[in-house]
Amino acid sequence: MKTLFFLFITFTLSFNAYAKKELILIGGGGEPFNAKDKNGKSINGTIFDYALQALSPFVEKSMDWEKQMSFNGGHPETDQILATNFSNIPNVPFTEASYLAVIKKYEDQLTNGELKKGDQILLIIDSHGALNKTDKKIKEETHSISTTKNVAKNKDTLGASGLVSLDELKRITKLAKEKGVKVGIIDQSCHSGNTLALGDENTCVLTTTGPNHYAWAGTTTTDIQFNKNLATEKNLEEVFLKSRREATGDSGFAMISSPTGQKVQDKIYEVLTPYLYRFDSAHDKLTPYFNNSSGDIACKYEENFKQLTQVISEVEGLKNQSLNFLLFQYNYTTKEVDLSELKKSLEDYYNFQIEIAKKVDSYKKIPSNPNLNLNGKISFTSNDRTSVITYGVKELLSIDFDRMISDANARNTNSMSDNERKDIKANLEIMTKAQAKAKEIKEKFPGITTTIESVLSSFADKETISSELAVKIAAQSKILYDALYKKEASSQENMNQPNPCRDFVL
Amino acid sequence: MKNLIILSFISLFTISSLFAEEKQKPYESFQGCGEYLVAGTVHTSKQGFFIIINEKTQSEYTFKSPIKEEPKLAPYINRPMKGKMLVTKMINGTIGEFKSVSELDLRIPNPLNPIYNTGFRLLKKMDCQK
Repeated sequence: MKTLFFLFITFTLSFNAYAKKELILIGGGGEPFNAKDKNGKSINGTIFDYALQALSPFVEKSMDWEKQMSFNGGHPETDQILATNFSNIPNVPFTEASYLAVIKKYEDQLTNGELKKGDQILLIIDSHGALNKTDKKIKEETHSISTTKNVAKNKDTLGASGLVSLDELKRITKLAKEKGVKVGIIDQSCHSGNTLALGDENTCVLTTTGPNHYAWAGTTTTDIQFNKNLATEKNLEEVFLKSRREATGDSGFAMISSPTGQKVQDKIYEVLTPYLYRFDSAHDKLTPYFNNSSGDIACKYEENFKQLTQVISEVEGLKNQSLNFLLFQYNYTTKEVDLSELKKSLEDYYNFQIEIAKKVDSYKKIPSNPNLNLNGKISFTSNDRTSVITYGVKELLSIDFDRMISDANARNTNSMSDNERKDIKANLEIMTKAQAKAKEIKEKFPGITTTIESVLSSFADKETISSELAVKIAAQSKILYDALYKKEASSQENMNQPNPCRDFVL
Repeated sequence: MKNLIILSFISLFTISSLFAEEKQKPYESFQGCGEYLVAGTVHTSKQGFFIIINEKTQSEYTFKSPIKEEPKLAPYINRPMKGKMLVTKMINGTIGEFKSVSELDLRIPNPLNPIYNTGFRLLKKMDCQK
């Protein structure tokens, strides 16, 4: 019996030892060349440098992995990091040609059997990332990333930076699934949530942010934690959960393609979306969000917030059951899931955003309302019907009635003729009626104004307030995500489903 | 540099277009009673409402509003406006009174070309009422 057990262990270990492991690193595109900082000093590195440094312990540790790299090209400091930390991996600048060559290489290896069942491919992508293209000509399932061709000026479209679509990777994931080769993809670019489309029961995808949000680069951001934890954790699901918890310095929304992750993300990503946006000039997602929203935005905000509050209450209500299970299974020390800080921040940001939403609604509604068309006319008649005045809505709203009425009342009527006194009386009647109408419109459409810019410009501290709250909420909502993940993971349905992220052992 | 040249060209073209349009129908001097198209500014005082034409120039004209017409001018206080103005009484120098106003609207002032900015254009000559 002992001999059989020994043989089994030996067989298992040797099988693992012979399983091929491939590590691919691509990206580093879209960064400016010959850039200078505020003091005129040359910037020789890229925003990817911290993440590259954080990846080096894993690269050093993973001696049994074959490695391939196509990263950046043309930035001396980044080149230096690559030369020092990844010295034994040949690098070629990241271009469309090098990207397609990498795909072709693994496509060939999968086709000709060099890579076979049980082998693993881990692809790490770190570049500028665009929103998913959904125009008439191109419908991407994933999204595109920048090559080193040019600088990515527009952070949403990355226009002119030289783009490659991650849809091309389907050629690898499809073949790998057929051959039983496990695939792990870690996309650390902006809008990387779109890459979850490559995930299936064979391919695990981790992303540093959601499909509509920017990713961030710094020293405490999600990309750093992902790269660090690759060296310490056993499988990709563990890397994801630990990194997600530990990253505190960004307002992204990290995602995973595991069945549990998909459920949690479906539950909270959309409702959290506006609270992870900010107004800051370089990363303003809120102005387009308000601009592109149709219908009654404030009403949607109310509905959305109600849904979010409900999810939070559910988690709070279920925490004991969930924690008891965890206590039993993992021998955890029970700890209260405290969502009070998250609730406070959400309430603050909701109150701030709904005020804007109401004003934007007022602005948007006027032209479509026949009675309140800005070009429409409203007539007012004096009580004796001798005078009729017609105002356009715009004109009506611009009149200072308090002053008009006060001036008319202050007029010295002693020297006036009877007709003039009658006219003064008729004017006062008309002004009073018009004032009431203007008040009614302003009450019905608070913050009524004629341009969306003026709606937003009235919120002077919007950049600071929104940036602070978005980062806070991103950090505080990790507790909510974690609690939901644990709850969903413990459900029988999810336990029985294939989980390529747990199966991808590093 | 290329963009700057294009921008300058567009600006010059726009300015010259405006100028050309105004040049075709320049404002005129006041010609006695009649119906006018006027471009001026509305002001108020304890005495009532006034339309001032060619304000702060040698040819400034001030027309007092009848009380009945004041609410029509209310949206244009201290704002550049244009519209039709009927003058039926002789004026005293440059100060007079109009009988009625209609088709009032805001106008966009052209600071580059004040001569064509404010003034009178006679639409219909009429005899003054005695």
